[in-house]
Amino acid sequence: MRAIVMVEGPSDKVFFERLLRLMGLGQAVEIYEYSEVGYLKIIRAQSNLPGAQLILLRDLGSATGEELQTEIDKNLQTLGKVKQVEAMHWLFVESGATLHLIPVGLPDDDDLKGLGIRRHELESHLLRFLFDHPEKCIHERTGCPIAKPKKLLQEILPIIRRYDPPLDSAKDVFQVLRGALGWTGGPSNWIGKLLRDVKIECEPAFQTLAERIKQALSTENS
Amino acid sequence: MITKLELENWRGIKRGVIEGFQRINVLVGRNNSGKSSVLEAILLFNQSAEKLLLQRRPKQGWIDFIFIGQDGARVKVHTIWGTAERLIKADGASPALVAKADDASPVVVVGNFPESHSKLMATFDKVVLIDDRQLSEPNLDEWYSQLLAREQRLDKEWIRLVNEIYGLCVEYLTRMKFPTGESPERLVAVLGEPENRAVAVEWLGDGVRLGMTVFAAGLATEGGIMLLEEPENHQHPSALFALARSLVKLSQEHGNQIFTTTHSREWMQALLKAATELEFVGALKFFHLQILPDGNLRVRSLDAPDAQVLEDIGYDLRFDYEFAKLPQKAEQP
Repeated sequence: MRAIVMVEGPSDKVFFERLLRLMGLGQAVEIYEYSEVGYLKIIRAQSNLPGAQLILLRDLGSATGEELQTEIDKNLQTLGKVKQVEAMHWLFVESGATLHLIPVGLPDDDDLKGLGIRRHELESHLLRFLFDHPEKCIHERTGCPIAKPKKLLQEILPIIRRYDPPLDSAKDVFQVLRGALGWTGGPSNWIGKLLRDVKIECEPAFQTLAERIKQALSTENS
Repeated sequence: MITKLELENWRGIKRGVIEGFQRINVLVGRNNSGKSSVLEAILLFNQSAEKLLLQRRPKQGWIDFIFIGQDGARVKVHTIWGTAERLIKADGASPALVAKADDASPVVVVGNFPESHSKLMATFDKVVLIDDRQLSEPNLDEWYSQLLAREQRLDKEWIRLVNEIYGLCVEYLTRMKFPTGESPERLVAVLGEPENRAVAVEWLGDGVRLGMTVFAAGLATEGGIMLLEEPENHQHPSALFALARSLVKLSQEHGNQIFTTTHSREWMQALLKAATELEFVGALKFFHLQILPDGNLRVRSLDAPDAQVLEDIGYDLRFDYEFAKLPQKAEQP
C-alpha cells in the first residue's frame, strides 16, 4: 500500500523524490506532479479510492498556513462528503480516503524576510539550505567559491529591483542566485546537483518538511 | 443497457456489486481479480447459457443475478441446479430463456421477466463474447452472413472499418474452395486494388482476424452487448488506436454496450483518446476490480475525465490496489 504525494512542479518532484528516498520512504509513496492538471482534479479522481492516503504539498505563496488551510478546505468542500478531522488533515467519509496538507515555505525565516521575500515556495527551503552551506555556492564556469551567497543577494537584488521586478518570491530570488553562480542547466538539474551527497532529511532547512511527511504517514498507518 | 450488476457465489466472487455501467466499460485489475467473471456473468443470457452454467456450477448450487436496465427495468434471475428432476418455472418468462432449459440440460431456471421488460431481454439475446477462442473456433463466417442478410448493408461498413484499421483493401468475403478447386472450402477475403488477389481468412494474422471478428459481431448484434476479453492481445500498437476509435464509433452510432477487460495501459489510453476525439467521453468508464481475501468483490469506478487526469500525471490505474488500504473486516459492497 503506497501513499500518493502530490507536488507542485518538476523541481519539487526532483527534490521530494530525493528527500523521500533518503528518508527510506521511496517505496512507500508515489509522487505525482500536479502543476498541469491542478491538485483538486487529482483529489477528486482519487477520493473514491478506498482508504487512499493523499498528501498534498502546496506552496504557501503569500498566505499563512491557516489561510492556505482555509483555501484548501473550501475547495475540498466542492467535492462533497469530506470533513476536516484535525489541522491540515481531512477524511473522505464514504471511501475512507484521507488527505494531509503540508505547506511549503519558510515565512518566519528572518534572513528571507531581510531579502524582501514575501512569497514562499520550495525555493525558500533551498535558499535557507544555501545560506547554511555557502560551500555549495560555486561558480559553475570558473569554479570559484562564492562564500557569502546571502550578502551577494543583498547586493544584487536592490539593483535588479531598480528596474521594477519586485523579486519578492523565493522562486525568483533563487533564480537570481542561480544566474549569479553561472548555472546553465535548468532549476531541477541544479537542485539535483546541490543536494548531491547531502543528507537532506537531517538539514534544518528541510526538517519541517521531512517531519510533516513522516507525521502524515504515521497518522495513516496508526 | 445494463447499468448495474450484482453477483453472488459466481466463480471466485462471493458477493459483488458493480454500479454505474456506461456504454463503454473498461475492466482492469490483477489476474484473478474478477474481470472475466463479470464478463461471463453477462454472457449468461446468450445462447450458450446452459453450458456455461454447468461449467461454473458453484458448491452452493445456486447463483443470483440481478440486471438493472437504464430505464429502471429490473430483471432478477435465480438459477438452481437440479439432479433428479428437470423443472422449468418461468413466471411471465422470456421464451428464449425457457428454451435454454430443455430436456437435454439439467439446468433449472426460475425466472421472473415482466413483459414490459422485453426490450431489455432482447438485449440479452444479442450478447457476444470475443476472446482468443475466436482464433480456434471462429464465428466470423456466421456474423458476416448476418451482415449480408441485413436490409441495410452493414457488410460495407464492416469492410470500411477493417480496411481502415489494418490498412487492407478487402472488397468482400466469400466461401469457396481455396486456393484450388481441390482444396477444402474456406472463408476467403477478396482483395481489390492494388493487390487484386484472394486470401484465406484463416491465413491472415491473429490480430486481423480478431479485429474482423469484433466488428462483424458488433455490427451483427447492433444495439446489443459486446464482451471483449483483452482485445489488445495480438494487436500491434499502431493498430490499437484505430481499433479503439472504431469501437467507440460502433457504440456511438450503433448503440452497442461494450465491456472490455484489459491489462494494457496502451489500450486504456487509446480508448480515452478515441472517446475524447469523438466527443463520447461521457460514455466511457473504468472499473478497477479486486477480489478481497473474504471473497467479496471490491470495485472502484472512474469516469473517463477523472481517468484522464490520472493518466495526465502518470498514474497507472492498473496498479490502483497498491494505493488502497485493504479493509480489516469483511466489506459489504
